[in-house]
Amino acid sequence: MTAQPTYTLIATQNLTSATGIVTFSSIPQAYTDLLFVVAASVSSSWDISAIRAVLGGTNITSGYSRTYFQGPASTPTTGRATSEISLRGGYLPPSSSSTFSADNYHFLNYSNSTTYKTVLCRTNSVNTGSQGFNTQIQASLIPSTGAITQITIQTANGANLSSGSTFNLYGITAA
Amino acid sequence: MSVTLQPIYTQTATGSTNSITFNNIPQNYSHLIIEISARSTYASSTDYLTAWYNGDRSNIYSDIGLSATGTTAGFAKDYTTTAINVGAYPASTSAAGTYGNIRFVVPNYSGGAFKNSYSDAFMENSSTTVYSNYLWSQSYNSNNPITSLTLYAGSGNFASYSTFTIYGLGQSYPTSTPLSPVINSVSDLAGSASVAFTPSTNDQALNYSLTTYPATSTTYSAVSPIIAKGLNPGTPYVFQVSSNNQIASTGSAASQQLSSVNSFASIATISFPNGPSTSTPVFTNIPQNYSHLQLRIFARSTYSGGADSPAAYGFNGDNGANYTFHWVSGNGSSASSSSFTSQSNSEAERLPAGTSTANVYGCIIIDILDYANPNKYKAIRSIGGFDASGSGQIHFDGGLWQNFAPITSIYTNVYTSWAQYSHIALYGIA
Repeated sequence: MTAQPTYTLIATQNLTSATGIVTFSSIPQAYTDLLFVVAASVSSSWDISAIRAVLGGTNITSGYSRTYFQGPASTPTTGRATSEISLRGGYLPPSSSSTFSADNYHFLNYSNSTTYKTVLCRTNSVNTGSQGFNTQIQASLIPSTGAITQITIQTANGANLSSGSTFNLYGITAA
Repeated sequence: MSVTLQPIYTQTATGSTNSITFNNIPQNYSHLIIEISARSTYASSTDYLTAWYNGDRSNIYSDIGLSATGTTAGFAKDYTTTAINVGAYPASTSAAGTYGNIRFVVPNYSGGAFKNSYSDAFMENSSTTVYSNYLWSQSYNSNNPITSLTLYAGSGNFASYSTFTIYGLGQSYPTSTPLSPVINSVSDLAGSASVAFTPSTNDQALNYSLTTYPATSTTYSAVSPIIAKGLNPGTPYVFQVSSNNQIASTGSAASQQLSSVNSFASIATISFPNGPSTSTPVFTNIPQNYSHLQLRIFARSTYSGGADSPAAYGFNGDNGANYTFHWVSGNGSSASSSSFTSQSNSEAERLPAGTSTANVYGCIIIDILDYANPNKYKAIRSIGGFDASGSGQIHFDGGLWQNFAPITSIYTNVYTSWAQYSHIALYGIA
């Protein structure tokens, strides 16, 4: 077996001013998996990442579901949500706390046109606010078989993504 | 090239001697520097440290000094004396634990002229009256090279823990072409390489440069090893270290060839594109040059008896009761945790199975740390799960293979068989 180069930065966006939405379009289809790394904060006291994807040319705006296990308080909780309008990810801390989230979203086999897309999420948000204190693992489903060609991220409750937030999209190539 | 402060020798007093002598002083430095941390046993607040060279106690010394006590400045000079003043330092009635700090410098000690030197002596304690700074200039009015130095405590002995270290300061300049360095080893650092070498043996090199072939950059350093950065993973490189001075550069022989690995490299992938497979896929001949391994599983089980299946795995063909694993999980309505000992394989959770919603595949990422270490049991962590829009699980698992052997192969399986389009990818992490 011969090792091949694998881990490629596809695109990065570093916010120099607050914005409502960040878009990664024309995602190359040459990789096996995508890894979306988010370090973000928001203009309000807290909010939640809301990720949408374009699959097979269609912007998916409904049918997202997720099963999560999280520890925002003294007792861990699990929950499920279905029929959502976006992939809800990690909690985002307020920019006033000078902290950013540390979130990874793994889109495995994102370019196949046969299966629904499962997204494995590992999100972390730590600050002094009770709503922005969260560690979570989550399996999310995008119920479409199309290849993912675009990813956008905004917030679920309308807060802007703050200046200083960074978003990196990597491609991982299997042998 | 020796442009260094080289420790020659250190002596530590035990309280029973009133002098310290350094004999057989090497003659290949340009200066001597003596660092002194000392205290005297003399029944007073202050004692005075003096010195002489080569055992010479004739009236051949002279000195001149400035002192400051915090309230007054003083001046003194001596000539045709049998020793030189080096500086004042604390004695036994001075605050306990205080030691004077003296630097004594003797330039051109091995030359043919008279030996002019200087010393800076600092003495401080908690008293408002007993502290002083002394600046002395001295001369040994002899053309003889200094081969020994005696430091004399004054009226008392040097107290215990007083230390005296003599250094040689080299300031020589190259006079000839440096000899070739010799490359000892080349180590892969995933995108970089560390090249260790033995320096030139004729002490003429001012620095060393590392060149890569094919060329990426030239990196300079005074010491071994030198790290070449920015290598293209997978490209074979050879390396050469050159010793350099103003006269010339001399290159080493070319190193052995090295192909650097990527910091995150794909090793192999097993896929099932054409339909269910009942096989137990095995990754064999796993390279041992990474730090960690990662398995990324995109899969589904054809198991018809339920909605989910674990992904089981093991190492080196071992299916004995040598595995332990535990997990915490959430299924959307309840959180749970379980542990399993003496298992015949480890598990990572969890994949959709036959009765789960069609087209839904689970994802599991398994990290195996320090897999090639022969002195550790192998610890594993994984996150994984799936969501099927109304059902699903998310897991965080820890596992242990109770075996010291480096992992050279990994087998995996699921209930019944792997569904079509499943794949398992193995990566190496540098």
